[in-house]
Amino acid sequence: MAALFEKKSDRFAVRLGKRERELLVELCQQSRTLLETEDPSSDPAVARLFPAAYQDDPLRNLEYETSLGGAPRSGKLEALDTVERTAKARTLSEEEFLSWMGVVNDLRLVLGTRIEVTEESTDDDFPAGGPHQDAWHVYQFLGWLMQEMLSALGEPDAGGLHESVEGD
Amino acid sequence: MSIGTAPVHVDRPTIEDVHEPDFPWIVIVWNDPINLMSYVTWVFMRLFGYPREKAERLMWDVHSKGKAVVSSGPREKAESDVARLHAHGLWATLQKDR
Repeated sequence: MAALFEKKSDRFAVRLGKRERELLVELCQQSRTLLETEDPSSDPAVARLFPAAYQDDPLRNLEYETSLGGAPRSGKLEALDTVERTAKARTLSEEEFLSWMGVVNDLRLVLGTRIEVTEESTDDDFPAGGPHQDAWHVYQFLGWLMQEMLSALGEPDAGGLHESVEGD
Repeated sequence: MSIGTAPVHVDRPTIEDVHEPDFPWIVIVWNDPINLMSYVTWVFMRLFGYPREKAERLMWDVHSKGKAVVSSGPREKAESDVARLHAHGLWATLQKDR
């Protein structure tokens, strides 16, 4: 069976099925709504996406967040745009591929926070008929995507070495 | 270079020099149950250019000890590192080195 994602010269082949791509788009839309309507103080899942930089110094943390402005949030919204725009693509540029990976990881963070996964979580913790069984399955699906994307990437080239999150 | 007899001037460190290291800010990554270990290793390699061995050692520290210092530097650099780690979904904080 061919790999789910495969690097071919400077592009990445995507061999996801139609339903899996539709699920990804649906999750992107939910994530967009979350980012547009909630903030870290109102939703623990959003708080997980935007952690405090200064753990014990609210004043410094406020300064830090003010200096970044909307950059962290708009970065995540742009990545969602990319995934939605390229959801049906057979191949992706490296930049698009990295957006996919960032989005999938953020979706795991949101879902995992919602259903309170731990390092020991198993199927038994999310039984059939329980409130979180579907979310648990989606969470596992996203974990599988992450693993497949990481194997397609291979060794990173430290391309993010000089990336910065600019304030606006 | 000459072998002279002129007195050699030595810069003596002041008290401040002794107590204020060059890079007083450290960046800490905390363990979380969601991020994959392979992903955390990949992020350390990509963002900091660390070789795989160092990135894996840091990832294991995070996983087994609950946290690890992943970089240090002036405050501005540490804040920038934290922002990049947050953009990649890792739970990072910065603090003054003690």
